[in-house]
Amino acid sequence: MPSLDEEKELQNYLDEVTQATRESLIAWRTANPTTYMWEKEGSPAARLSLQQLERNVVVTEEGRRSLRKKQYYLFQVFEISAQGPNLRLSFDGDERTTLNDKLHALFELIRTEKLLRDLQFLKSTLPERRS
Amino acid sequence: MTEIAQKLDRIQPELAFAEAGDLLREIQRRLRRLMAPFATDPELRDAIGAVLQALQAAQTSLKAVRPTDPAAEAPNSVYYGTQDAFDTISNCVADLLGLFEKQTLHFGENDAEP
Repeated sequence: MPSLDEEKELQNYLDEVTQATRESLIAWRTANPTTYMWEKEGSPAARLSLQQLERNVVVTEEGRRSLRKKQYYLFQVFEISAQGPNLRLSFDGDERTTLNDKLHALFELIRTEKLLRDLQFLKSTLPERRS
Repeated sequence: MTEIAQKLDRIQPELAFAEAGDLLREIQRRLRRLMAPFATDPELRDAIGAVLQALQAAQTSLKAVRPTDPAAEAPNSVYYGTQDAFDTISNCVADLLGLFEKQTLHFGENDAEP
């Protein structure tokens, strides 16, 4: 189990990443429908990835067992060097439940901002009306 | 069927999207062929249904990690995105194998000479 200090550090870090995302200082790109990535250039070069995951959990209700989907997030940080990407940090909201809400908020923020940009682009493709 | 379970156990984090697709198509084809003759067997029907459901769920999981740019996949994302679905298939196949083994034993008892 992570110590409280470590947990707090990670929470503060995620708060800062979320704020930087809100200020458009981080250019996340869609790697696939459930994963966003940011290639940080300069020193240190790094790659951040945030993935939405699901797993089946067995739920027992009134003596009956059934499968439910549980959604959680995986956050990974790679150091990029001449040798290639090297995984430096990986944590998921399934094991660290206190961080899952922050990861969820970050994922939704990236998704919403990207959707807004895509909608703006869509509108820009409309032909101009002659008055 | 044991071979299928072993293939699923050998999946590595570096699994690429194309490899995962090939693997899923292969196990889907083989499992469907193996299960088809027993689809209406009352003893096996539920277990076969669970395998089919797990295969369907794996297809959904795979779609969720289809790379936007195939040349720049997010590292390990296909493995993490499909791991649970492949594990579920593996578990359902193990359940079905157990039922097949039970039926085989059962036939043996009936056919045994006193």
